[in-house]
Order: sequence, then C-alpha cells, then structure tokens
Amino acid sequence: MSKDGLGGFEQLVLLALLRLGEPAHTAPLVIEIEERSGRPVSAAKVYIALRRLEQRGLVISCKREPEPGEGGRGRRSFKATARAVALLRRNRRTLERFWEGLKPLEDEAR
Amino acid sequence: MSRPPRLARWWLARSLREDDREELLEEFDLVFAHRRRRLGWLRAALGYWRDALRIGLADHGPALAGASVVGTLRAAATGLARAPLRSLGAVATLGTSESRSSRSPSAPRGAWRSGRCHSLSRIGSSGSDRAAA
Repeated sequence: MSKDGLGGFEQLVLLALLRLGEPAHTAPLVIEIEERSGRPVSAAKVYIALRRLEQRGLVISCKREPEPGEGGRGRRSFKATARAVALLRRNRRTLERFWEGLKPLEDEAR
Repeated sequence: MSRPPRLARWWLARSLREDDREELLEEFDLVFAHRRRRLGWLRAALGYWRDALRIGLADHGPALAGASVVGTLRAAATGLARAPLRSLGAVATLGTSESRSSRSPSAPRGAWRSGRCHSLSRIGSSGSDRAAA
C-alpha cells in the first residue's frame, strides 16, 4: 500500500472505529468487524493494522489507567484522526466514480 | 472449557511485547469468549491459535504478518525441501532478530505508545460493554 493509500482491511478497521463511536478498544473492534463483515477476522490482524495505522498517524491511542478501586488493568483505546477520515472520504469518492455507469451491476448487488 | 488453549496463550504471551502483554492478553481473551459463545469452543480455539501464531510472526516482517498461517507453513516447507541449508540459515537469522528486537529501543513500540490521553474523550466508555456482554 502506498504511503497515502489505505488497504481494504485498513479501511474496515477505520470504519469500524468510527462506527463504534470511538475511542474503542481492540476486542470490541474485532467483534464489530466480524459482525459487519459476516466472517471471522483475525484479532492479530486487527492489532497489527492498528499498530501500522498509528505509525502512519491515522490512529491515535491512549491507555487509561484504572480508577482507584476499579481494579483490573488499563485498556488502550483507539481513535481515528482527521487525516484518516479525509482518506476514507477520498477512497469512497474514488469508488463511487468507478461505480458510476454500472447501473445493471448496482441493481444486482441489491 | 471456557478458557483459551493454554499452550496458545503461552505462545501469545511470549510473542507480545512486555508493556502491552497483559492488556492484549485480556483483549484476546474477550474475543475468544465472544467467539466461544457464538461458534463453540473448538472454532474459538482454532481462531485463538491462528492469532497467536500470527502475532508471533508479525515482528519478522509485514509479509509474514499478512500471510495466512497455512501459507506461511507451506512456504517454509517448500523452502526447506528446495534449499535446506539456506532455510536453516534463515531460521537462525530470525532467532537472532527475535532476541535483538525484544531489546532494541528502536522497535516500533515507541510509536505504539504515542497516544495522548488528553485528546480523547469518553475513554473506556465505548465498546467495553459489548465485549463483556
């Protein structure tokens, strides 16, 4: 994937983040992608994609320490950046341009 | 059987970076619990194994991380059959890089830790209920 591009799976991860009403944790993100795509998704793949997206500045993360008396460990939350949203919009526009004029296929898909 | 396979969990724990280990084991356990309820223990366990192996391979390059486990094993077997000496050399090199990468300060963990809590609102409120449900 080019520096400014987004892979198909990266798009799914970012869209799932936005759908969850970010910031979101890893496990709910995996479950959201599985439920929306209707197929099993590797949690490791999601983890690796998040790490890669963060390195590219498309996601930021934050580890919240547990409140006193809350118990357990802090969990890391993820949030898509404005740059990620802009890239998603651009990808969507590109796809829509390709779909234009393919009326019969559009009807079949529905 | 409500817990992930112990050997896979051990392998996963061994593969994860120390500072993320406990937190990610918990996240993977939540995913396992969700799959077990939906698909049964066996399929959840297979998924857990697949994730554990993939995480273990992730630090050896994006090509391995993106490949399926079967594809990776097939490529390894083909390589071993065609050029055994070179394959063994590659395995030895991976072992070296594993021990180095776990100590190196230039490992990508710095970027993984770059989040700024103050920029996030409602932290911890999203999704956790769904996963726990």
